[in-house]
Amino acid sequence: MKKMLPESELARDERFVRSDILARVHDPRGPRVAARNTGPAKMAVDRPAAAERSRSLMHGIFVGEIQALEGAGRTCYDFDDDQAPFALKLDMARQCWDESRHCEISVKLGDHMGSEIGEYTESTFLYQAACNPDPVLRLTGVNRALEGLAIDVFSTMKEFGHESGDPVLEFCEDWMLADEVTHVKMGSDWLRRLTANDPERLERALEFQRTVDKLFSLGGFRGETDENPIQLARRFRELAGFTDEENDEIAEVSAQATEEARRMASQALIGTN
Amino acid sequence: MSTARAAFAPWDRRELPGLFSVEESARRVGNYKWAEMRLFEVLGGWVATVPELDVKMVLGRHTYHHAWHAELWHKRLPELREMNPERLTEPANDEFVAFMDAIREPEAPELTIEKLVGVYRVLIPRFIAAYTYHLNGTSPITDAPTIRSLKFILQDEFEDWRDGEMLLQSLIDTADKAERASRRQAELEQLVVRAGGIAGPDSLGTQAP
Amino acid sequence: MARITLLPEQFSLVEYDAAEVVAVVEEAAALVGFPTDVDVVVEVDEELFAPLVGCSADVVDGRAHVWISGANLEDVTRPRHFSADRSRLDFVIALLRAKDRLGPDFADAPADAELTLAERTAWDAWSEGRAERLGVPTRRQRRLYDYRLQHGFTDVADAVFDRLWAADTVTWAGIREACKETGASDRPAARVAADLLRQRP
Repeated sequence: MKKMLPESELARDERFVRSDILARVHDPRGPRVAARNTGPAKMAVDRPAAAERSRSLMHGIFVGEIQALEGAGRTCYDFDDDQAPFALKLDMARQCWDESRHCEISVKLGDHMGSEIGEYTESTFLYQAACNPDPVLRLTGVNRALEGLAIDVFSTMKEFGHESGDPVLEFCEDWMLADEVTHVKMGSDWLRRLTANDPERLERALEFQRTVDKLFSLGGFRGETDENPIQLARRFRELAGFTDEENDEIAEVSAQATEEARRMASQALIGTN
Repeated sequence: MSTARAAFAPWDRRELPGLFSVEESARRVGNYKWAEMRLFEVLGGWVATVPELDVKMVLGRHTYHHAWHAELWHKRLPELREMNPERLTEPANDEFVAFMDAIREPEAPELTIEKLVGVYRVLIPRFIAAYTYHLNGTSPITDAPTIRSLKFILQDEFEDWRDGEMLLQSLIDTADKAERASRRQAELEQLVVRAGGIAGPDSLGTQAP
Repeated sequence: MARITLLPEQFSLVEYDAAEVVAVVEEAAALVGFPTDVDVVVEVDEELFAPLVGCSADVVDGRAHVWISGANLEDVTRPRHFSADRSRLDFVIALLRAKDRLGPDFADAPADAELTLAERTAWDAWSEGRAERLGVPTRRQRRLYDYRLQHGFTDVADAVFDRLWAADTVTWAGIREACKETGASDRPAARVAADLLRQRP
């Protein structure tokens, strides 16, 4: 089996449909919807289409967990002992188990919400972020950026579970949130250890993390206002080892992304009209 | 009359002698660690290559099991006077390397049966056998820490073997697939016989004439 | 057969075939026994995509008026393409409710835009149960989750859902009683308008 499996070769059964990012970007409805008031983006039970939005997000979490599992698994295999220390691979193997459990939990939550596996399309950009051939960059992209996003997502869903009085959702999201804090700490610890004598590599890794963070803030997906479906979970991020500066930077990037999305929507709508 | 109790309670029948010296135990543990490492790496790598969702999740769990086994062996080596664990972390012989390479070879998404047969019908039974021999043969007093690890590990091996076997039985639902599974198993058995086993030719001791 | 008017007559943002959509609506109308002397206007909001689903059913000037999000009709795995299977249930439910409005039992029911989310999900629960008995494939757990978000995740709420789902006859008063029984009627009012998705800039 070769090392470095590209995202195009991720194996799926026939239920899964890969989303076409370009089709979504060029969807003529996009700017029209952006110009309309479809209610607050923040998850709430009185928000229009609340149930469908949370089902859709839950399915997105589910496919994200599959990709996280696959990414951690590939990190166990892709690097020889001289590229990735044994202890790092042990941590990745532990993460495999955790992500496998998250897949199981997500399947059960999908059942709870009444959705089916493959009901929504799958975007593989999470795994793509994990495809870096440098183990330090891969770890930074996955365990700090991706898992940092996971902290935000699970915190948001946990809050939604609490607000909607859904004990199952709240319970499950909280357990997964605990695991993600561990994963981020793994990333932080290994970043520090592997770049202790290599400041250039450290800077490259942090730059890659910023790139991935920005990708996940696109379109205002994440932020600290009601316009953002996913809320930045500062408290849990601090527990995981993110500094105030890092969190502030993500908040700033997210705010810029939200504004940019708004501007692009207006321009596109003008173009359409 | 003395009220002092015997050092060994009447029901504690453990004896001192064991089959393995410190060096022999360390050699075997080094072989075990190498094999568990190669196994957990490939299980992790396979997760992305198998389309079956339940298989993905089971492989994810088992990846950790075998990584943890490797970690237990890694920690045991310095206790067996091997201060450089990497030195003894090696395959039993070149034939075992060839066997593990063959185990790890399948990649295509339609080869789930071949992947699982290699691990659950050939390799893990070899682990169970080698570990059981070691458990039964080593000194229960002097080598108690190894025995403790072996017991934990064997519990995982038996459960993982069962998980894998059940997946295989549910996947092999035609004569053609049964033929594929048999062929794959036979190919790998040939290779592991040449190696002798996880710890080489005397993985299970030698038969008395 | 009831006369169906589809708006827009031709889709420009999505690749839905108007005739195909009308055919599904006609089939739904026949299945629910919709009065043949009542016209039906179906307005599809083709700007909306998943997950922005929504549907309303009112009677205005003697005509049934169904507003439905394009997302309800969309094949989610093939964006901008129509899914007859996905849309069938929603049209059946909409027409059952429109038919309810034509009768005396729902004479007092306010327009959909004025229903609380709890009232709406209770009515939908009853309607989907009826759809199931008409032989339409339904998704009970999905409907239950929608309902639970408004009525609570409690044994009481679930018991009321089961009753609604299995009921042959329910009145508007019965819907309101159900909301009282689950405690949903005591919840704070929604912060956004029930018909927000229908509103255009």
